[in-house]
Amino acid sequence: MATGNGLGRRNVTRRALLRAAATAAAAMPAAAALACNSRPSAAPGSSSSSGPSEANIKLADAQELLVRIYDEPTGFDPASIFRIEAENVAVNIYSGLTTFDSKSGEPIADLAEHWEIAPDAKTFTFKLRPNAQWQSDYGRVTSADVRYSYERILNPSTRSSYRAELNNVDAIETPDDLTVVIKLKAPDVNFLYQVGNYHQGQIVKREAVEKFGDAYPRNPVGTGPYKLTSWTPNSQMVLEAHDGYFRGKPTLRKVTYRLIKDENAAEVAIRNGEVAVAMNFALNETLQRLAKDTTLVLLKSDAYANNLAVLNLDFKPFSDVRVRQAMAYAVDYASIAKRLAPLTQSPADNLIPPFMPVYTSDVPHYGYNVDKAKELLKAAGYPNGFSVKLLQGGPPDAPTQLRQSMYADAGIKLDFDIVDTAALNRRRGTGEYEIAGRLYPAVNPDTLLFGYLHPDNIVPQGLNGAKYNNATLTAKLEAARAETNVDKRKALYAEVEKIAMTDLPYLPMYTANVYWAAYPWVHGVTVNKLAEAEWYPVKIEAHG
Amino acid sequence: MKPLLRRLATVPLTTLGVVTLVFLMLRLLPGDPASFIAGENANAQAVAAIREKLGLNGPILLQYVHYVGALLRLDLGHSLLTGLPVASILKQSLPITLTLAGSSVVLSTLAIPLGCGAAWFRSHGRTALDHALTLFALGVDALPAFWVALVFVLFFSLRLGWFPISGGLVWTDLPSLSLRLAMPIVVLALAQIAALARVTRTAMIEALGEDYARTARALGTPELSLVFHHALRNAALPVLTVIGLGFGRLLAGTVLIESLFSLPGLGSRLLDGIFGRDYPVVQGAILLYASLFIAVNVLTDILYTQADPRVKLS
Repeated sequence: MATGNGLGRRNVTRRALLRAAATAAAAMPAAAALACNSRPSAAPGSSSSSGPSEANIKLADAQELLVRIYDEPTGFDPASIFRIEAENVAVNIYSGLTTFDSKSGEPIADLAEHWEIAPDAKTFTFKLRPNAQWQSDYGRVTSADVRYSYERILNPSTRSSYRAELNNVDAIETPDDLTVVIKLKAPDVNFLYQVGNYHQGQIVKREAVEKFGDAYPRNPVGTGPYKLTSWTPNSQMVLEAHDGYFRGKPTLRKVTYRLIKDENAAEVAIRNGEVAVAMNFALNETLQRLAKDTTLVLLKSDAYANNLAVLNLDFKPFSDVRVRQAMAYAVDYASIAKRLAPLTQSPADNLIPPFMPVYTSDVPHYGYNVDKAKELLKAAGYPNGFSVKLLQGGPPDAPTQLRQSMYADAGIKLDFDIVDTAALNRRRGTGEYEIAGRLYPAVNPDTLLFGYLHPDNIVPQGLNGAKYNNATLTAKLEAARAETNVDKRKALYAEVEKIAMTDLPYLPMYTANVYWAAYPWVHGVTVNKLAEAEWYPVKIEAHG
Repeated sequence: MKPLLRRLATVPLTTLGVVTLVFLMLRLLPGDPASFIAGENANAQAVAAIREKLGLNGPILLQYVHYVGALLRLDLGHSLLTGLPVASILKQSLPITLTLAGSSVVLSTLAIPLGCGAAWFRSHGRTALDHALTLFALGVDALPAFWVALVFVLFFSLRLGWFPISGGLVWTDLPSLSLRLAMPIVVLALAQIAALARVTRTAMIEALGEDYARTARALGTPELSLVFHHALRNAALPVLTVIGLGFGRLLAGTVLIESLFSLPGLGSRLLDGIFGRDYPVVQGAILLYASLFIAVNVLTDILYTQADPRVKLS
């Protein structure tokens, strides 16, 4: 009888449909996922929603805010936290010994009121604020909390993703309740960045970590201005003011994050007034529409990170510096950015973004010059060009397609090796590609320069995906870390940048911008260099 | 009842097949959860630490044995990304998806009178009306759901401001729940209505052309009773098939629609799980989808025998 066969047939149909739907749906979130990974931030020239007359504004009675968040955070344990959406919430819950200036990204005081760096750049003495309180009645913050937090990251059994960030720590001493002395194995002035309010730098409370155990990531306890009071998975999250915060009671009392993944839905939600602030718009079309909407303010954080092409020096043509230079000359990044992504990208000229104090523009530049590219290729023994594969997460966007055609003009045939996010991360981590891309938002210049250029970090160990090794540059990198004099350190980094831009293991392509949208009556939102915004300075003006 | 028992006996085997296939297919995907969780700028040490923490280091066969063993104890495991029990994630998202799919099925039965109408017009020679209805159904069927969804959002949500596009779902607050779910339900039902209307029409044309219909007319049976009482019952089999099939199609549709309307249902969990290589969540969600689908199929088969006593499960 027919029913048996019918069942079988229908099953096949269902699977096919399900698969088709999943594939169709995959196309959109893939783009969104890429956008999520790109981290926005505030640069010189970044805007914040605070007007000039901020002090005089009439405050609204209800200091509560609805915010669009674009992806579901996976938890708030500093040892394992990842992705910008989670970091954005965590920065408001926790404190570090230091935190970062929202414009320059430089470390400034947080839980540590001040500090001293020994002349050998190996001993750091931090003095804690006497009035810092834990959330949820866990008492006063002491040096033991700091020591516990960092030793926890270093303990292999914690299996923290950020253990390597503190690898240089030799010993942590707590001579009294408010003093923490951290001794390093090798000198590193930039260590101040590693103890900031970000990832491994955030201080946790032992009693809370032990009490919640595996559930700690969903029950974070910090010393910051807001505590997490409710979390409905995949729907919404609520932060409420922590009145024991050491800088004083927060004006803004409550922040409710609504999860809206789709960017079009988010645009509708903010224009409908369903949310007052929307994090992270990444599509130029959306941004152009939002920019025209006079009822809204776009919060821009430009040039927060540089997008680089990573040239694998093991790929034969790339072993010749002339080929790498030809690659740089072959593409007109400025006109691509201007035509296709005027709001989200501008051409980059260095490995690190311009906001970093150690950035210099005094490096070799490679303006668009297809003839020169051809000449260099000919000189390098590739008069007919060569073929190369680009490791590409998801379908290539318009700027990448244009790049492909510009390479073709110079005789370089660029093929796409298309994979999804998980595969992209794995292969980039192990160095299985000829060209890859990398966008790494960071405030510590060493995260980028040491990461990209030091031979200890050659893939799969670290971020040196080009497999670049230049002894002269390495010596200068190490000297810069040990140099306590600001000007001398800047000079050393400038030399590092100059050598890197001469050798070109990485090609700077674009600096990326990040945008949030908000109503003008929300004052004081600034997106920082790590694409995060703190709610503490935010005030809501009375509005109709 | 024996044939029914036999039919039910195949359920566990089908389920095991689904479970095994999904388990293997997930692991064939390039890139493991650790490299996703570690993020795009992680170093080797971080990835290794996460892989160990998630228990992804053992041989696949051993992982499979552990997984099936846990399943037999009704333990679906924990999400690799959030650490939440998969059972609680599914429990939270299932009602949303069932409400969406269920309401759409109910809404889509509007197509039955539509199809009957078209067939009746045709049997009375008013082919223009029949053509109009058929063309309408064809047109609606050809519109991709994601496009309809976007148009709905732009028009009803942004232009008219009738329906919100964000916000949590509070089951006790029926008015706001209905507003929040109205658009996705209608979008899902639309394609279903078109398919169902066409099938109903075809089956009804056949039924109305049968000898018994002519006889009933000759005996003076009112048209309404003829169509809905006599002919529709005989045309019920294909209609039931399409509704049963449609439920599966709707479940698949929810994957896309939930994501467009920011609804935390089973479909968006599944999609997130696939992208994040969250094996336990994907395995759990697909197991649930498969169980639902098997259940609907068995139910449809049983309904066949009720709708038409000539059908036997054998």
